[in-house]
Amino acid sequence: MATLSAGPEYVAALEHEWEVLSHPGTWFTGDQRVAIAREARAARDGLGVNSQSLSEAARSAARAISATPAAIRATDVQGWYNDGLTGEEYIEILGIVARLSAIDTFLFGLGQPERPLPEPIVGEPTRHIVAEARLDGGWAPTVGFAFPTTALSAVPAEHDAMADLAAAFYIALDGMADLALVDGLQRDQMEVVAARTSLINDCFF
Amino acid sequence: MLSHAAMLRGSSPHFGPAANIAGIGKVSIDVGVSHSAELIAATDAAVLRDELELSEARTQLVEAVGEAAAVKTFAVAGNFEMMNRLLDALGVGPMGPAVALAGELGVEIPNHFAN
Repeated sequence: MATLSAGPEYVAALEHEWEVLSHPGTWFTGDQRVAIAREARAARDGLGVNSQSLSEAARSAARAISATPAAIRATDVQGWYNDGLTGEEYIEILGIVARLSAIDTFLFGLGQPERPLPEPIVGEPTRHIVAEARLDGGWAPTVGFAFPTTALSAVPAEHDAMADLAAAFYIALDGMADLALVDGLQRDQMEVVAARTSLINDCFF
Repeated sequence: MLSHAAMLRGSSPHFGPAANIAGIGKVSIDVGVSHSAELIAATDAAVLRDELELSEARTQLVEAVGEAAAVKTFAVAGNFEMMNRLLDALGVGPMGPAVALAGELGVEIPNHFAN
């Protein structure tokens, strides 16, 4: 078994995410979003990259989220805020890097080559402000207590993209309570993979 | 990891005996879930980006669970690469009854979290 092929439902999810990545987001242009992804991959591979469209704080955050997420501390995040990054921008960087990590690991596991990053689409970010987002149990604003389902809620477009990918790769958010689920794997087999991945990554949640 | 160890414990009786979650932290211990050894070996190779281990782990996984389930395995691993980053970057640590499972997994919960 040299490699595995992603079925059409996965291919659709990957193509959707590449579309989302390439377009202007809420706080970053398409060019900046693709640059964030490029920084994330370079950091994971221990490489440098010169992303002139990003601030130093945005670059640093993208690289840390990609390569050393379990080592991020409140002082790091505060340092990025002190250097001019807003909480909402941090959330958008987090969404981009986290989804890229999901897709890159998936394809690596299958034995498939990494997808080249998309060409950015020109346009302006929406700058949509979620007035009710605030610090609530996390280091960046959320709507409600910081939790897996609210982590990106201060930037709804990032939340929606995360939910789409989670539904394709794991379980739709509204199906989490079904412990007898069978969808490709039995639910207990999915939880073995989930718990083991989290253990490797030192994610204690 | 603790929430999903709890979900592993809760879901496993739907499919067989209750899982031994200690096997998540120590590969010498059998988790007791169907084909968990192959699932763990493939997960480790993919998440750690170990190309040398991955080819053999993927072959053994496919032999154990079939191609579609093997693809789902790497999708689930990818999903938690995403979710782990969301939580760690926000400083969200374990909460609720799952905290009590740390000892069984053989891990010590750090104290830097925001919650």
